[in-house]
Amino acid sequence: MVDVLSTGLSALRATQRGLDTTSHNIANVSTEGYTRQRVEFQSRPAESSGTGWIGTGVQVSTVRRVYDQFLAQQTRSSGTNFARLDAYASQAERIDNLLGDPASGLSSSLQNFTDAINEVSTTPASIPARQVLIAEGRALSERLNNYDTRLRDMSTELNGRLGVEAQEINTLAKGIARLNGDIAVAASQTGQPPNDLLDQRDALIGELSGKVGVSVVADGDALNVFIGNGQPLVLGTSASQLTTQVDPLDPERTTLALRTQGGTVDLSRVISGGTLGGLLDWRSQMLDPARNELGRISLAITTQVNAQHREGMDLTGALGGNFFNIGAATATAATTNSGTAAVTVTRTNVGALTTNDYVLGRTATGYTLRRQDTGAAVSFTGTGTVADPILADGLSIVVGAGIATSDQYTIRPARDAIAGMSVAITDPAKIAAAAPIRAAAASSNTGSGTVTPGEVLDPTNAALLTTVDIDFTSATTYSVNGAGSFTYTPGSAIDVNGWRVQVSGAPAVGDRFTVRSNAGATGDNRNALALADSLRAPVLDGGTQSAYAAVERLVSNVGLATQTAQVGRDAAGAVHDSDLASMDAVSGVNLDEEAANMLRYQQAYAAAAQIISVANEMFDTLLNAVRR
Amino acid sequence: MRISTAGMHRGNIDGILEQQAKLSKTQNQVATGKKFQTAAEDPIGAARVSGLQRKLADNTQYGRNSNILKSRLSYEEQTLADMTSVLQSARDSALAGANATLGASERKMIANQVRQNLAALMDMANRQDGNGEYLFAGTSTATRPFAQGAAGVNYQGDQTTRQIRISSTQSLADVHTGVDAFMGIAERNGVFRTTVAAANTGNATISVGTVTDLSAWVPANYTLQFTSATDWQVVDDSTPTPVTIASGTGFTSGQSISFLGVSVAVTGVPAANDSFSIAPAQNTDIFAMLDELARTLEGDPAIAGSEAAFQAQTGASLLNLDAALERVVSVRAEVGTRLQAIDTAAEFRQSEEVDLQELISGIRDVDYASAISKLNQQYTSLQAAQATYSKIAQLSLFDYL
Repeated sequence: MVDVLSTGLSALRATQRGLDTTSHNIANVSTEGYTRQRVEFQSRPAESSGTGWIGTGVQVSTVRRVYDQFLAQQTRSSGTNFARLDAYASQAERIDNLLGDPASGLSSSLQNFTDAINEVSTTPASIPARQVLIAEGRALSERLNNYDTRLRDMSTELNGRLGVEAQEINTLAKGIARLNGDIAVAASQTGQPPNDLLDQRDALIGELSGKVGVSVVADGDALNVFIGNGQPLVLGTSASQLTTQVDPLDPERTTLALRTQGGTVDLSRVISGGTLGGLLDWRSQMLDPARNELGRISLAITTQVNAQHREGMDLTGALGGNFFNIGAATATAATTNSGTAAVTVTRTNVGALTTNDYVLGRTATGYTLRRQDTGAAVSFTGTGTVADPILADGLSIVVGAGIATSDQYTIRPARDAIAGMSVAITDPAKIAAAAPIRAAAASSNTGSGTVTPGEVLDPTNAALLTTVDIDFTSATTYSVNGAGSFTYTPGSAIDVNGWRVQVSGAPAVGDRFTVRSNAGATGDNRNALALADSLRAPVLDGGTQSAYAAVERLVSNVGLATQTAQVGRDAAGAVHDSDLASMDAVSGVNLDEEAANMLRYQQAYAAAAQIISVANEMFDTLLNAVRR
Repeated sequence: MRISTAGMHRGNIDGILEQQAKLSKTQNQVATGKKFQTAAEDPIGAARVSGLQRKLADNTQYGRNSNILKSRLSYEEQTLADMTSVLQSARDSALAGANATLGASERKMIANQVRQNLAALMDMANRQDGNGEYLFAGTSTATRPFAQGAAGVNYQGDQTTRQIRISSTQSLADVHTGVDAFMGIAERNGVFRTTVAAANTGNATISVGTVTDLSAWVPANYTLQFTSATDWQVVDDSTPTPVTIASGTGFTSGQSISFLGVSVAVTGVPAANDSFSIAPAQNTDIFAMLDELARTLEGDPAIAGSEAAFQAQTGASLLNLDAALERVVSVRAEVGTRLQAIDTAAEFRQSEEVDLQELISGIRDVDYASAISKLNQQYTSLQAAQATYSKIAQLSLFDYL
């Protein structure tokens, strides 16, 4: 009889725990990272009697989290991947929005500039047309500068963001380390799993894996967290510090490092996954190449236009100067250098330039040249002296005195080109629309010979503008300025003083063709036509890409990279969603289920109470039987 | 499969958000009329549109170039037409002046007309276009091309003809230079010129002459000498001993004398030792031609009093004016072909422009019919998702407890 009471009491207590847990589940239906809990019931040990083993009721063995370790691992890893692609794609979209508008982008600025050149070629004497050309040149330069500044800002902004992300990661790491300690204490005190602490720790690890790719290794009750390729972020109850530092090779950029008890480790090359991985990937795969490519495009434009402009003559009768100014290639000494050498870099061939940045390193015996992004070796010739400069990828590098072994220099061929870009000409009369020389047949000529207007081969020839007479001493020979006797072949080139003309037809003896300075030819448009053509001439990538084609390629490459990132993000998002759903299916709270459980425990509780009541009645019956 | 309550809500909300994003994209397409806003939405298409738009912009520029060129060439044509009538009038003057019944004073009046014609020609050759650029100065458009010098009219422009691009493949020459238009015209019959020696005592004159066989002609200076009134010989001027090319006897007035594929007629009575020179024709310009005509009509001292010489000179001038007219007409014809080429190129550009617009539109522009039907479909999907979600979300076992 006592047994009935105690069995009923055990059932009351156990179902009470069941109701407690059910209401805890219902209460946490919206809690992020909460895992539903289940009460594990167990029958109490039976008592032996002569007639057999009599059960003594129920007890709660434990309250268990319904949690699948494997699913959690999988969800973390898909979350890391999704976060990486999400960060990458949203940053990529910014560049795409900047460059990718086909109507208002760089291409239209370049077109306006070309149109202005064409306008000058049609009305070379018109000062307004020349002013428009200068204005369009400025607009083009400003547009490029605008893009460059925006990309530079993105880079600076990224530096700041890396710092913020590192702070958050440190906070998470500290939280995980603290929970490792709490969980160990709680588990050792009761021998039961501290479910809600475990949930909290799993939530923190999930959040962390969204920031950066991690690997998690269990060590007893503690979880150790590693980042990169095995650098410890959390070991038991101690957390390392993730910090940002200025890249010794590039003062403009921030890299990540891990401060552990053993010292500081550079992580910039090994971090992958998560928001941080996505941002770092985006910087090296999209931002830097886009900036360098823009620089290279500006170099293609300015090199072509300047070279052609110098071959022309302006309204004042002087040879053309540079139309554009452009920033030089730069070499920056690493902050870790011990030597004091100055390194100068000049561009020798725009067609051979790449979008890479380089690191020049000093060894005991010579130099190494590597790509900054991948570290791959770049082949070069030369020893770095003025007489024998290091030549690689369209660059000439001269190292001054005072270099020390293992000194490093970052070489940037195109990065700072745009920052130094502007229109060099302010006076519209200084636009060299005319060719510097003109050829003419003397009016007294009796033969049928004609002469081409002449073209410039070498604008630096000192005698370029000197008047030269080509006199025919017979129908098949001519002299130049009265000297020499050259055989005349109709249509073949006559090259003198850095220019070239062709005489064709049948000149008579005594016929004269004169080549002289084209000063005063205000209506000449020959150089303006050549200027317009120079922008369409292939120059980049070994003379296969025009500036126009390069702009189109840049826009389309950025678009393609963005599209790829977006597609990747969507796919990773779908995978992550499905992992989350799988985990939810196992661990999430279902209110209908809890309602049913509540009903079940409520009924069990009522039944157990009935047992108490029956026990009471039994006791009363017995008492009444003996009360006489 | 077991579904958690939070999971069910999240799944439904995610679905609705996705539908909304799709709907918003389609709505954006319909609103802007463009399939893509940035290159990421269609990288290949964006690059192609950019290239096609460049061609379109180039075409627009070529159109502007053509218009400027056309106005300049039209002006040149107008000027050449004006010149033709002036030259025609000068030719009429030459014909009128050649009338043997006219006296010296009447010829002087005609000479005045020719002088006026010459001044008009100079003005026309120095015409400026709307921008103040001299039409016929080559590329030295700020320099007045023709100026009167001591020895005739000097050309001060250059011989460079401006090329204007009127399509991606075609450049056209701008207005002719003064040299191409008005200078370097072979005088007389284009092969040789005949002159009466000033020391002649007879009254014979020599005709302008004709070319019968150009291949037999050797350009050099020749002299037709009369050793008596009837005996003649043609010698070349080679030194030290002139070589006799042809000779004859029994000369009568008006007889043709032929040698080396050319033929000249001598009219009148030559005296013994009279001579006539036959030299290769020189290149001259239309201003010198008119000047020569005027001088002849004014009474050139070199031929003073000799009506025969006067007639020979005016005959030569007539031939000169014919050559000048021919030059102006042929230059004008060339201008005509250039103007025609501009029109042909314009037609080609227009049809190319239509093609380019179509191509761009095909890549970039939204097909409204399909976009709107897509919009409707997405709208319906979103509505359905919202409706079912609000129903399902209301279901709860707790309602029945």
